[in-house]
Amino acid sequence: MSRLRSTPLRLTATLVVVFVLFTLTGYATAYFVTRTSLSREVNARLEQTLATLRSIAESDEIRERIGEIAAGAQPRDMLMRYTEPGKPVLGNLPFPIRAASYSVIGHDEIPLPQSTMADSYIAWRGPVGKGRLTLLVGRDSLNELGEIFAKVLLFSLMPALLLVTAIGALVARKARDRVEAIRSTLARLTSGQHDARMVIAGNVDDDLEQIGVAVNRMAEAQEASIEALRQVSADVAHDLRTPIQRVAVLLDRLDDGSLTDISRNTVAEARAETTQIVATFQALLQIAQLEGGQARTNFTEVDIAALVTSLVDVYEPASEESGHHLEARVHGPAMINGDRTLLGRLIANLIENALRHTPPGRIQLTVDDSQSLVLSVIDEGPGIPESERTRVLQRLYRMERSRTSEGSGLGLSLVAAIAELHGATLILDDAEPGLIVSVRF
Amino acid sequence: MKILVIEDDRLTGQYLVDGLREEGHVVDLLTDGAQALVQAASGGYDVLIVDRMLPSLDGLAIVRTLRGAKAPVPILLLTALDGVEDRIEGLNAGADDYLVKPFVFGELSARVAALARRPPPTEEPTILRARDLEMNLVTRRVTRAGKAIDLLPREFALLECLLRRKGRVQTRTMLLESVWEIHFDPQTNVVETHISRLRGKVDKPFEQELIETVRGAGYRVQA
Repeated sequence: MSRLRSTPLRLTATLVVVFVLFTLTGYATAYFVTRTSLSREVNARLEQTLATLRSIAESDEIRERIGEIAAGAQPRDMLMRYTEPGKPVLGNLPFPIRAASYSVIGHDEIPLPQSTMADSYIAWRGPVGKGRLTLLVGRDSLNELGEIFAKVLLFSLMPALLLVTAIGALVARKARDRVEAIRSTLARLTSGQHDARMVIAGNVDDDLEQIGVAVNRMAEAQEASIEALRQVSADVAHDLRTPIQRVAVLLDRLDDGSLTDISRNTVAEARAETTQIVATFQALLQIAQLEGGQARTNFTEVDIAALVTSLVDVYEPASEESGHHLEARVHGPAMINGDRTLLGRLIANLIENALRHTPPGRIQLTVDDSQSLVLSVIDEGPGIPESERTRVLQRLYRMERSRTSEGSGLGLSLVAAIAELHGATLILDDAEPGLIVSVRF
Repeated sequence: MKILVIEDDRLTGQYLVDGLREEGHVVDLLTDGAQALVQAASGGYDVLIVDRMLPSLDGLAIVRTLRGAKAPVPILLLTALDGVEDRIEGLNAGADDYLVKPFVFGELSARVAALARRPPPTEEPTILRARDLEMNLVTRRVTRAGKAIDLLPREFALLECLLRRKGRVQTRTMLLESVWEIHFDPQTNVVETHISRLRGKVDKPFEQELIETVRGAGYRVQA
C-alpha cells in the first residue's frame, strides 16, 4: 500500500504542513510588528536629539551641547559630526559621511574600528544653527531582533516541528494499521473465510473500534445466513433424494428378470429419467452452494493444463463416437489457485456442451498462460451471433435458462458459477466459423 | 463379511440388507443413530454403512465418535449431500468412502468390497495375470495367449486397475477416480467408450471374454 493512499497518513501530513505554515506566519507577524516598533524607537531617538539641538538659539550653546552629547555617547549608539565655517569640527565621527537623511547605512561605509560600532545606522544630515550636522543613530537593537528571532526559530520551533511530525507519524501509523486490519478482515471474509473476525481490544467508543465491531456483527450475520442456506440445502437434499432413492429401489425390484423386453426398456428409461432428475437437482444445489462462496476455503494449487489434458483424454473416445475430434493444446504446467474437483467439473461441462451443440467437427481446448491464464474451448459449430452473446451470458449468470433442453443450460450456469468462485470471467467469441468459450482467470 | 447398515429409511435399508445378504454377507440393520453407535462400538463388524442424516444422532457424529475411540472399522458414508465441501467434510470426519444417493446396488456392493480390509500384498507384483493375459508392469508389455497387445497409456492404466482388483467389480466412478483422478459422474458414457476400445484390443481377437460387464454396477475381470 502506498503511503499517501493511507488516509491517516495523508491527514497527518496535511496537519503538519498547516501547523508549520500557521506557526511561521505567526512568527513572521511578530517579527515585523516588533521590528516596526523598534525602528520607530530608533527614529524617535534621532528626532529627539535633533529637537534638543534645534531648541537652542545660541550658536555657542549648540556647540557646547553637541560636545556634551558626543562625549557621553557610545559610538555603538550614536555618531555625530558638526561642521561650522571657521570653527573646529565637533563630535565623535572624524570623517564626513555621504548619506541621505533617514537612509540606513552599514558599518562598512564608516571608516572606524568595527568592534565599537553598530551593524547599521540611520542617518540624518542638515543645517543646525550656523553649521551642518551629520547624525547617525545605531540600529543594533533591530539587528539583534533578527538574531533573536532566528534563535527562537532554531531552538523552539524546530524541535516542536520534529515532535509534531514524529507523534503525527506514530498516531497515523497506528490508525493505518487498524484500518489495514479492517481491510484484511473484510478481504478474508470475501474470500470465503467466514470465521474471520476483528480483534476488539480496549476502547469500544473509539470510532475505528466501532467499525471493527460493526464488521464482526456483519460477519456473524453472514456466517449465520450461510449456515442457514447450508441447512436448508441439506434438508431439501435429504427430503428429495430419499424418495428418489426409493424410486430407484422400486425400479430395481421390478426388474427381476421376469419382464418382457418392452417392459425392461421402460424400466431403463425410468432409471435414466431418475438420473436426470438427480443431475439437475445436483447442479441447482451446487450452484446455490457455490454462490455462498464457501468452497474457496479448499483452494489449492491446481495445474489447469494437466487437468485439461486429463479431461480431453477421458472424453476422447466418446467424442470420436459422435464424430468430433477433441484435442488439447497446452504448453507446460499452468498453475492457478482453485478447487480441482470444481475446475474439472467446469472443463467437463464445457466439453459436454460443445459435443452436444455442434455438428461433427474439431473441438480444441487451449490453455494460454502468456498473460493472464485463459482456458478456451473452440468449436466449428454455428457459433452465437455477436448481438446475442451478451444476452446469452446474462442468462447464464442469472440462471434464467431454457428448461426444455436436456440440462445443458444448467451445465453452463454451473460453469459460470464455478468461474465466478475462482474470480474468472466467461467470454464468448467468434472462431470464424464456430464459437470460442473462454474462461479468463 | 459382517456388515452393519445404519439407515433410517426402511425401504432403502431393507433393499441394502436384501442385496448384501444375497451376496452372502451377514447383515444387521438399525434405524436409530444413538442405538446404532452402541451396536457399532460393541464391534465385530467388518464394514459399517452409515446414512449421514439420522434421527437422534447424525451419521457424521457416529463416524467422528467411532474414529475418536480409534475404532478401525471401514466406514462407507451414504449421503444426500454432494457438494465438494460435504465430501471433504465426510472424509475428514473419518469415513473411508462416500456414496451419494440415489445409488444403485451394484455401486454400493463394489465399494463395500473395495473397503473390506485385506492383508496388503507382501510385495509389489511385477506381473499381473488373468487367465491367459499377462501384464508386465516393468516393461509395460501386455500379452494374451502369447500374442503382444499394443495399448495406449490410458488403456494400460484402465486394464491395470481392473487386473489389480481382479474378481471385484469396478464401477464407472471408481475407474474415473483411479485412472484419471477425477471425482464426478459424467453425463455422457465416457467410461463405456474407453472400455469398448479396450475390449476391441484385449477381447475381440480372442475367443473368451475377459472384461465382464456387471449390469447396474460396472466392470470386472474374472479371477
